[in-house]
Amino acid sequence: MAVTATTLTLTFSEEAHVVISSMILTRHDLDGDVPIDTKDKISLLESDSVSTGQYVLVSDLRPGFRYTISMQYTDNHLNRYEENSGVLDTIVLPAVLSCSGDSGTSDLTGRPRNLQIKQQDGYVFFEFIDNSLCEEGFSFSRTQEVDEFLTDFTKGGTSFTSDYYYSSSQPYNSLITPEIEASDDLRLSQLEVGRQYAYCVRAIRKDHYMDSPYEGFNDRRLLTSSAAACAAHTIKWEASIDGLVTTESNAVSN
Amino acid sequence: MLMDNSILTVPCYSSMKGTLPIENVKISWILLSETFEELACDGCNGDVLSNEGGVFTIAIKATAEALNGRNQADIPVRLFFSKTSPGSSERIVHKFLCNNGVEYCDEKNGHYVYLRHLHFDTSLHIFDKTSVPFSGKVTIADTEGCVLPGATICLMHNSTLGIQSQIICGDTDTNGIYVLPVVAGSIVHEIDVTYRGHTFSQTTDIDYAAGIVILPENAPFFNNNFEDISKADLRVEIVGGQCNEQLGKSEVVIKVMNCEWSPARFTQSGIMQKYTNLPAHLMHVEVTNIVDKNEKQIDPIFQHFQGERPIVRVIDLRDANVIKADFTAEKQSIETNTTTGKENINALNEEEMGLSALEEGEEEKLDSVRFQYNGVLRMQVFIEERKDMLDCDEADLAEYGDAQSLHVIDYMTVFDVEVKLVYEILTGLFCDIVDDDLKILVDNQVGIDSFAGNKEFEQKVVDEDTLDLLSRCSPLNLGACLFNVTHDMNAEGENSGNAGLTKLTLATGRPNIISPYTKNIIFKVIGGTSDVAHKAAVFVSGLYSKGPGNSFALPTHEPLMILRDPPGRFSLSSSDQLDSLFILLTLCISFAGGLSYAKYENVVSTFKSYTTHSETSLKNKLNLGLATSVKLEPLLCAGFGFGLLGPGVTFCQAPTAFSTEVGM
Repeated sequence: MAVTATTLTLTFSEEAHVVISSMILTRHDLDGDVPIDTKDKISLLESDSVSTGQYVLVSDLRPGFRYTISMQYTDNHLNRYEENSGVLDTIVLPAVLSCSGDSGTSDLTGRPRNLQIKQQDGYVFFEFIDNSLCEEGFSFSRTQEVDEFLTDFTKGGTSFTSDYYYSSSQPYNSLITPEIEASDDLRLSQLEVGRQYAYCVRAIRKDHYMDSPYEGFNDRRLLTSSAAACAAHTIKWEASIDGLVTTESNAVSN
Repeated sequence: MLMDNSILTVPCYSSMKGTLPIENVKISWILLSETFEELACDGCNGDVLSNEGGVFTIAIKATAEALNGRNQADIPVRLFFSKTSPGSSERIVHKFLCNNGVEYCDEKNGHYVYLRHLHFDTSLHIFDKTSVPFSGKVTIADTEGCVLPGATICLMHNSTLGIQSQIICGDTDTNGIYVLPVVAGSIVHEIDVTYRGHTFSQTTDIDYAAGIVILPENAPFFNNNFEDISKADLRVEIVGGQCNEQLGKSEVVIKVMNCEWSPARFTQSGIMQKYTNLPAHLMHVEVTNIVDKNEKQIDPIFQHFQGERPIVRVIDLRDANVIKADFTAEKQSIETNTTTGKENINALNEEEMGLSALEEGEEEKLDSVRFQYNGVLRMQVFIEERKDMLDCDEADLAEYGDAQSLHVIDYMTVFDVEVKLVYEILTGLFCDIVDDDLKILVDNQVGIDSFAGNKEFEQKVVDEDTLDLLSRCSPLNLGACLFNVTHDMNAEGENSGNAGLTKLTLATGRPNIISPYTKNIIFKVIGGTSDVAHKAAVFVSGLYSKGPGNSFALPTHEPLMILRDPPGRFSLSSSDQLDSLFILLTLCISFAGGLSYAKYENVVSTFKSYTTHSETSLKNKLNLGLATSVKLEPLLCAGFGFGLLGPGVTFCQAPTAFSTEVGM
């Protein structure tokens, strides 16, 4: 079974020769299971039987949710060659849809792309591209640990934004520039000049409230948070002068 | 080194009323380490420009090892300010004031500001102290560009409240040019040109009232030119002597002094002409030609005015109008004076009239120049006629030491001398008024002398007044006398003529027995430009004592000195035989018409002592104890003596006879 952000594809093996008699698709929300009417969502069922290499595509699903497919089928092959052939059987398949809008990556969490960091007027500002189809906001963190590969330091990081997350429901692939709302105010953070810090950002859902010590893999990933995109930034010495050049005050010109 | 940036203050913007923003000022900055070493890193230096509002922001974001961990350190930043603007020949380099305008920004080492990490509230106010040259020229109207040095030019500013204030003032130089360094940002609404109360006119169409903003960007501010349109009158007198004689028709040049200007020449026929509407300045006046009624140049006068050193009169008309106004005001003041007593009105009126006349005279002098040609100064000497016994018609004055006149006066005779000075302006045209500063020197040699026996002679003169007359103006006494020239005066107290020395009383002493047998009175004019002198040769007639055993040579040519045998006890053809010789000298001068002589009878060592009573004889003891008695009855007259003795004294006429006794 393969998933994307909005599709779920069941691909049958070579030996399979089944006839699907019914399919129940359930989405598991926090509020409870929600049965999904698959009438208009299932495609490529040209007949009641599928052969090897055939698949069932369920589309137009909500990204990032966990689904369960309960399917009754008859294995014709068994029916033909086995004793129990022709007997209805039920299979329940769990599936978690991806949040990533970029199907070209292995990341299914929808981790932000192209994180850019800039320091300006005593703030560290961020800019990135929203790569999540699930996000309701973004969460930022900072850590003093920076390695060559910019490992996700989210779990050991420090939050510095005003709120835990920066609320944003920009369309997928939007450039997110939270400006001062989600910036690191250096006057407050008192970061050391010349020191390198790692800033990470991830897409989250509102109901995300804690991280798991074991998450980080696609099969153990949080449904409420994407993986983090991190970048290093060295704190620059920063100050400014506001100047004015005028004629002498005793120059008679008023 | 600059103070901590925390004490840098920027004047409140509301207090910066009256300033103008300066744009495009380049501010170059560089971060320094705490030990003032320039940091080389990305973001450690840069340049910014002030914008149209004069505002600039230096945002520093640097990564340098020297800055690492220096969150709380004060990091020095060095700033340089620069701007140039178009000028006349060279671009104007701006000058800037730092430290709230109290000192110039250091162009070499820069201006230091101390910043701390994450301090974004540091303000800096820099003042543009650039002086923009504002120049022009002040000339004199109606001339060929004659310039006016010393005029004061003030640039004025009118505030929005209507208050006028002075921006800067300066004077024109010797070329009439002024260059005022005006602080950038000033707005000129008016230019005041002042010079001795003169009136000036703008020669350009610049609209100052609209306000000229003085900024380097608007430079140059040249040709702010003005001209002096003040006028004055001038009286020119061209006269002969102080008698104001008419000389001829003159050509007059009147131009501004020290200016290459060739104005039209005036023709003046009268002795005085008034020229109007002339520039009220230092004027150069010259008489360039003078002709007679036949249009022929009068050479001596022309040479006088335009000789090797042409006479140039310089008249200062710069304050003429101011002084004239003062006079007018004073007159009005007098006219408005009131008296409380009617009886004083006449007296006051007379006083006013006198004062008014005096002031008018003074007023005229203020704007008058006088060209006076005096001619040749001549001196005439008059010896009291009744004492001068010369009756020859002519005399060869060369025989008497180039004397100018010859006189014969009896010995021991008081006589008056009169000297007249007169200028001969042209042939037949005289003026007997001379300068008051001329003096007449009288060198009298006819009284006491240094001949042999002079001391005995002087000792015999016991009367001080007589000795005083003999010694007066004598080089053997106190020296020559110097007399002021006197004049007759008119009712206004001015010299009216008859210049000279009216009466000088001198007295003859002993005769001179040495050729040319005359004694001199020398008159000289002191203080004039020419050497005017008069030598009056005086033949003193009378008796002369040679003393015992002495002799003297007789003249061998005319005029002959004849030893006349005095009537009495002996005749003389030679004096050698006598211990004491009494000689009667007579000067005879031969003329074509026959022998004539001046009566000149002399008595040696005998003088006409005076007596007020009955003295009839004098005894004279000479050096060798020879007692000589001279009977003087015939010689003496009643009151014998000098005329200075007072009333009742008469002068004795020349003696007609005498007698001598030897061995008495």
